[in-house]
Amino acid sequence: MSKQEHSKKVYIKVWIWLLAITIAGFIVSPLGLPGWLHNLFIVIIALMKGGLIVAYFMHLKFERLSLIYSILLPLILIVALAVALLYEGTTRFL
Amino acid sequence: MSSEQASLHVDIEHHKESFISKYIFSYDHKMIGKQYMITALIWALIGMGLSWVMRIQLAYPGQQIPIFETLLGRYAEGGILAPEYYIAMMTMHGTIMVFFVLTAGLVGTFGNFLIPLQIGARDMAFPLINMLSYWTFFLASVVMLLSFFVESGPAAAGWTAYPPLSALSSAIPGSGAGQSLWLLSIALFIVSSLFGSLNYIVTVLNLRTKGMTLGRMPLTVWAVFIAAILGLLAFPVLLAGAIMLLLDKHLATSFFIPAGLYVGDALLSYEGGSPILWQHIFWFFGHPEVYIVALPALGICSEVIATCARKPLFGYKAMIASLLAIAFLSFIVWGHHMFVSGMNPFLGSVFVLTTILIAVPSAVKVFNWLTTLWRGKIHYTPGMLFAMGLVSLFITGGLTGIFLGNAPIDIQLHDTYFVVAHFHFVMGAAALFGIFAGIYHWFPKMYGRMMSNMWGRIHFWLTFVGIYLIFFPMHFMGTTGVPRRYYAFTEFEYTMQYGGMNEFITIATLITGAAQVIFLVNFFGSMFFGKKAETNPWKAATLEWTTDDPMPGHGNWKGEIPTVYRGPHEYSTPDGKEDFILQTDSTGFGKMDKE
Amino acid sequence: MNHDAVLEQKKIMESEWGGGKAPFGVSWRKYMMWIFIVSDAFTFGAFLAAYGLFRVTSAGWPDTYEVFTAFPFIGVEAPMLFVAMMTFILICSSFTMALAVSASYKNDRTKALKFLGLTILGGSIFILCQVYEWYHIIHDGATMTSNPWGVPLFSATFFMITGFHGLHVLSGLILLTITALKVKRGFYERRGSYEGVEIVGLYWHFVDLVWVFVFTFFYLL
Ligand code: HEM
Ligand SMILES: [Cu+2]
Repeated sequence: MSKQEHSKKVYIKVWIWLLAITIAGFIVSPLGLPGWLHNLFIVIIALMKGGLIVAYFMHLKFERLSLIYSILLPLILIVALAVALLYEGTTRFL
Repeated sequence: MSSEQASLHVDIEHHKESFISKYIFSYDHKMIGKQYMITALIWALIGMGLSWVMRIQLAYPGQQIPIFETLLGRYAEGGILAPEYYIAMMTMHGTIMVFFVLTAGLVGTFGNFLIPLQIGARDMAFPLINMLSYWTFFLASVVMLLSFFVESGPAAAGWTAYPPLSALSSAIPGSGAGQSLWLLSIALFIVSSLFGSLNYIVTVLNLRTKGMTLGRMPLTVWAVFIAAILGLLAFPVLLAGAIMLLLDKHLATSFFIPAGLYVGDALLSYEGGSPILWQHIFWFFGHPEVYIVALPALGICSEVIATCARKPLFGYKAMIASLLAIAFLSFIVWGHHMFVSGMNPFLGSVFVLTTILIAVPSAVKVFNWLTTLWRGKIHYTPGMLFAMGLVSLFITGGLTGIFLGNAPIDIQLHDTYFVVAHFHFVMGAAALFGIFAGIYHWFPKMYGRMMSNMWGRIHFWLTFVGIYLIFFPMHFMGTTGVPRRYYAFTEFEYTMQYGGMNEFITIATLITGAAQVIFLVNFFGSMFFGKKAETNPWKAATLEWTTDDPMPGHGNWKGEIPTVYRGPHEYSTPDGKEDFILQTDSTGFGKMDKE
Repeated sequence: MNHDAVLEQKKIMESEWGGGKAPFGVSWRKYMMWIFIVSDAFTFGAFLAAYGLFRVTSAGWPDTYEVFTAFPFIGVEAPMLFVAMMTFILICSSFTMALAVSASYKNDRTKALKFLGLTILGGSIFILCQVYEWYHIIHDGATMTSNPWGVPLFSATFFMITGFHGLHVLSGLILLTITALKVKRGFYERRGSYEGVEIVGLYWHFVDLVWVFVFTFFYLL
């Protein structure tokens, strides 16, 4: 583990970014964007936030590629469940 | 030796062994594996007893069976099993068999016993949670057992616990305390499985001995490793479902309960939930679960077949690839259990496609087993017989799976005895044969003694023929529409014609069940009176047979952990002195580990 | 002795996956925490997926901007401000956690302790906020089976998901406290590795991560 990965500067930068996009997500809501655009925006922001936390705070960015894949790829499966449920919910009477 | 292993070694040597720390709260993976095995065997007896009760009821509906009253008390007053308790017995039978016999008996037993021995480690990475894993499982067992003794009887919503039966405490007797205990027990089981999976995965990845690449691991380790990954990802989803079901049951939420439901004459006030959601959640877990039990059995089968056919396993890499492919696909096929739930046909066709795709890696496995057997010098040990029996059962059950995977056919066959036959072949009996093959094969390493080969063979033939006699006729009943989960078939003419067949199946069940006594006597008898085993009685090439003692102690190897130079199944290779080469054989490489 | 075969064998033995090494370059402890996190993510994922299904199948899902308007002491309605603040606090505690890990790798015990303390403080404030919020909407009449804003599943999923997350925060706080005590007593120093702090940190960041998604899907969407 090299010093640079744990450097305070990077953390502060990430922290500021996190706060900035949290606020961004928060203030778009009252703007009255069309629903789908608003939702898209919000979800992208959530993914960005999640990405920052995982990559920098949890350090995943600095791990070996094999480790990164072994953690991230399985998540596709739970997303598949969510997609199937949403599809079921919108296309049939439940 | 890596530093992680070295520190483990130190821990072990300072570990004083009293009776309790050796046999009860043992940290030794081998003892924990045996604990799992014995517990699973006890559960198997209970599960089998329940199947007898069901079968006797189905063969002789309405007749008084005095022993029922003696054994089951209020569940069978006057010697006649009550309908609501038939369903309860069936639910407990399914649950016990799937979770406590097959999952614990395969992943728990062989995962624990074999992983460190076969990859060359002194123990699991984290022995403490390994011990906790067994005791959480034990607690789950106790809770499940308790539910037989509550006033309203055990859970009765099937092993799939479909709501509303499972969610409304007032629906049937078993929906009350029995179902709550069932959910609690399953939640504990999930925790136990999580502890196990975490340990297996990191142990396989990080604690392999020098030279033990992934491509040199025996297939049993591969299979258990992949099953552990499946468990890690599938069980938490069931946990979420179980929590929601408990909330429905006890805090009156309506996650799984639709609006407008009547119990008796009373309209219930639930609103907005969806029983279909439970089916999705359950089967997202449920299908991987069937592979959690199947894969280790297939791995054991591969290894035993290679060893006892004295040939390298045909297509070792293809075997691993097919395990991986099956594991991945198993997560995206769950909808094939729900074709008749009114599922969107497009979604249904996606599930048909993925389901039929599983036939490909499955066929690869069967092909490789057969080609390994082809012209092998087959040693018909009991373990080998059970492994070959597994191949047969897997083919039979796999073929009916192709029928059921097609939505249009499944719509006819769903919830009939065809399904009962299918899953008993491919999951029930095949996995059970995996356990038997594993026990016969590794018994010498577990207890340092041999089991009787002759009695093992007799046990095999009775069981193998028995399984076919019991379950094969069910296909015919199913194709004519005889429904599953029925208490008696006396009401409809088309089901009544099967009276004779039902009686036949039941007699076969009783004989096959009785044949298991042979196994039990052989197993427990050999533990104490069996012939003393050599270190490597089957002349196998894998690491566990290189221990200093036939029955290794804590730490597995007295001296250093051996270094590995070659693949796991090298038999009949032309350049060897004998017809096998141990993985540790460094001929041709010098002493590379001594730097 | 075949020279090529020996070389080949040597290459295999010395490769990352050749055994006797940690192939991902991390200890089994840390990897175990990682895969536990993946597993736990599946539980949360299942909850959120179920919530998604309820959301799309229920007509008239309440508008969260009208439900979560309370803010202590200011006396006026401030839609979503309070949750935004909670999110802010949790992100800050993640930040201090990262600093604690970084300090402990520099063997700076006092600093590590200070940041761990701040993290615990942040987590505790978060929990208190959650208690306030629960109290508030229960006061408004929300229960597991009904609520004044419409669809009963709204409050049921709310309590279930935030409750399950809250339990994670709580267990995280317990772990953090134990870790802080260990740091204080010099446990990691004696062991020669502060990895324990990093592992607990992973868990804590994960709890934060889950909140980001709960906040997004439950409150903002
Ligand atoms: C000794 C051999 C066995 C016999 C005679 C037997 C017999 C039965 C019978 C009669 C049923 C009820 C069918 C119905 O009423 O619809 C049943 C259900 C079931 N059995 Fe077995 N069984 C045996 C072994 C196993 C094994 C080893 C497994 C492990 C997978 C297993 C798993 C199940 C399951 C999952 C169910 C369905 C329970 C449900 O519908 O919820 N059985 N079995
Ligand atoms: Cu399936």
